[in-house]
Amino acid sequence: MKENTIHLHPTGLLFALVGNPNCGKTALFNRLTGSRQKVANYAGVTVERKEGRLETSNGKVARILDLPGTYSLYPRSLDERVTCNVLNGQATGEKQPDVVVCVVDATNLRRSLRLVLAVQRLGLPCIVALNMSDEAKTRGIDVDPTALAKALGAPVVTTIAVTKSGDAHLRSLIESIVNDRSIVPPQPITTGDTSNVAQDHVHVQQILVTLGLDRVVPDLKSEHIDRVLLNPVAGPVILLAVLFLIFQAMFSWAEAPMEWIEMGFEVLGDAVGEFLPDNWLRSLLIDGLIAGVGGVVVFLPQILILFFFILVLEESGYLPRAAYLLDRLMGGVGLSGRSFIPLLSSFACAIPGVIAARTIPNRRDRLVTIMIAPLMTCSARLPVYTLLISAFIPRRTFAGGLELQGLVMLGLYLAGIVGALLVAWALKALTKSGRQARPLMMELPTYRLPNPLNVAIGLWQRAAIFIKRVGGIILAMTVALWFLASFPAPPAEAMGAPIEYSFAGTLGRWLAVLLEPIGFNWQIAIALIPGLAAREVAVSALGTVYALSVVGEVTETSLIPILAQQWSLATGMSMLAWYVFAPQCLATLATIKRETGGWTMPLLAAGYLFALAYLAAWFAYRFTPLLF
Amino acid sequence: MQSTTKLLTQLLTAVPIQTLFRVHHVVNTDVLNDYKQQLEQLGFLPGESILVQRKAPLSQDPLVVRVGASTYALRRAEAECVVVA
Repeated sequence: MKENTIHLHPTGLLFALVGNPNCGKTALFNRLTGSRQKVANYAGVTVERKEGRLETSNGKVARILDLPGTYSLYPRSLDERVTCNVLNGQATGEKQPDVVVCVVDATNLRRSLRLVLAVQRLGLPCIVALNMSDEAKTRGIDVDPTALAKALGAPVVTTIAVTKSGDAHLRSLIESIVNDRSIVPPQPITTGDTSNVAQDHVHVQQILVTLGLDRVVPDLKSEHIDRVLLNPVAGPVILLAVLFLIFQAMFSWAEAPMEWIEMGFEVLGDAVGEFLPDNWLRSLLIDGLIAGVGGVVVFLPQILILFFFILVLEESGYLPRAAYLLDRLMGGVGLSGRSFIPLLSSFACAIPGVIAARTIPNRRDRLVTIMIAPLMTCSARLPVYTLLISAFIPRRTFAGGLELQGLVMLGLYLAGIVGALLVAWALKALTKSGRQARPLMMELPTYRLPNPLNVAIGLWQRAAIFIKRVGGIILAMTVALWFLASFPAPPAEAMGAPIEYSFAGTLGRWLAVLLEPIGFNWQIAIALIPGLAAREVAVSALGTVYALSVVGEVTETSLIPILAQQWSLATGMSMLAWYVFAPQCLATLATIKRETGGWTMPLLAAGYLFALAYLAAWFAYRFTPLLF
Repeated sequence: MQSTTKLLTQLLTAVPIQTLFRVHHVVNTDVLNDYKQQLEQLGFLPGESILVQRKAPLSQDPLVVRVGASTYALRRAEAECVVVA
């Protein structure tokens, strides 16, 4: 049957990369296919199958499939199921692979080889890529590929996925297979129990004895680092210090580049203003595009600084350690340590976080994680937070170089985390299944120095995503809002700003009735609607709304002083509180619907998040005047 | 024979840290979660070398355990499934 399908697929042989989590499959995939999929130093980065193409020197094409890592062929979570379905030929829209490339972590042969044996039993032709062979060698593990190939009955090549042309041996093996399939004959299919872990363990043990590798391998370097970073006293202090450093840096390092961008847009606005006559086009360009879009682009430096730290931490292997340090807290509110990494991804954006929840085997844990992921402060909130902090929190430096603005930002991030923990705790207390024990069983990977190129690529991708959002949805919403806020034109005898007579102005005043108890004026009400498409749009929308609200001579071009002048402190604080909770992102809700397969979860999430946002904003609005 | 084996085996949660043991067997204490199967897949298999590297203060939960060539963070309930000798 397998032979038949091959002839039906003219696009080339299908090679699937299979291996334990965090053994370097994606890094190898990127090398082989020239792709730029995300890699990091923790288990469970890849949760979906990804396809790429490798062109051989004689012009033939091999299809390469990157699969989520798995410890066995007994799937426990959704991402592991993807791998098992592909290998069994049950994945929709994908044939069974022609050749399986078993990626083996040379520093952890035992666990890797058990999976190789299980894959071989499926009957698929199999080749082995002995990855991280360099790291193994420095740790004194010298694997002889020829001997291993003999023991496994499959071709073995060494690879170093993290270095250039470290995939050379594998690439040439794949090329020879593309030219002549008979090099790797199919294995005999073993029927019956395919999950005999104990038997495989004995077999692997024999192989390791034959290769002279049956000994204890300590990871001294990581153990030494852990002695400090996981120390009961120093560990949590360092974790907190790292978080502090990130938020301080976001404000102090970003200051200069943000000023340059702001100046650039001001110059651009003035130039356009002089060049064009006072008509609707000039208004669209200056009030709509430059005031709106420019207001968002300013935050690019801060987003990149945040991601620089996230990428470095991801590559180092520190993140699972942070999860270990926080595990008591997570367990106390009924979450498993497995929830940590999806929640952490949500600091970039809730969408990858919600998708990453596929790595959580327990359904209830997975749903709880999805429900609270939107409470993690995503990078789209950053422009809103920074705008309001810059307008309402004075620049003040305390002893030790701590800045008040950075502290408030840290406080907002913590508010989201505390909110998420409280929601998880409430779900634990209210549901019966919440009181069961949760598994952790999380691998602590070897520490590695972050690869500067990977960090640079990651930053570049982030910047590209941001610019694309600005040029796409943010631009579209800004133009739409400018239109609604400019038409219909005010009657001739009008006294106020034209916007007050427009569609948006009318709508804003209706909504303002609902939002008045939490201190939002009609300008905020208008900005919140396009802000549903993406959180940053609220900033560009405020920029447009205030640019159009000006009567007479323009006094300020930048939004920050306008807000500081026109809003009360209580309104500013209320809006900050609103943005900690509000589900102002339709894309996240759509992802929740897709991942949970129904409307129940997204509607529940939207409902409870809006309720919390309203409540928090109400408290902030009522209590701020009492405090200051 | 069996009684002597029993005397020598201990739960992973009971052994001193930084002392090398061998995995004896894994038991299932929680039917709902099937810890036994999950632990075996991670490499908690008979004869494998095992070492508790550290325990969280006070509650001793979670633990950092080195088994074979991998390091895992385990909650106490999970470590209690592992019998070492």
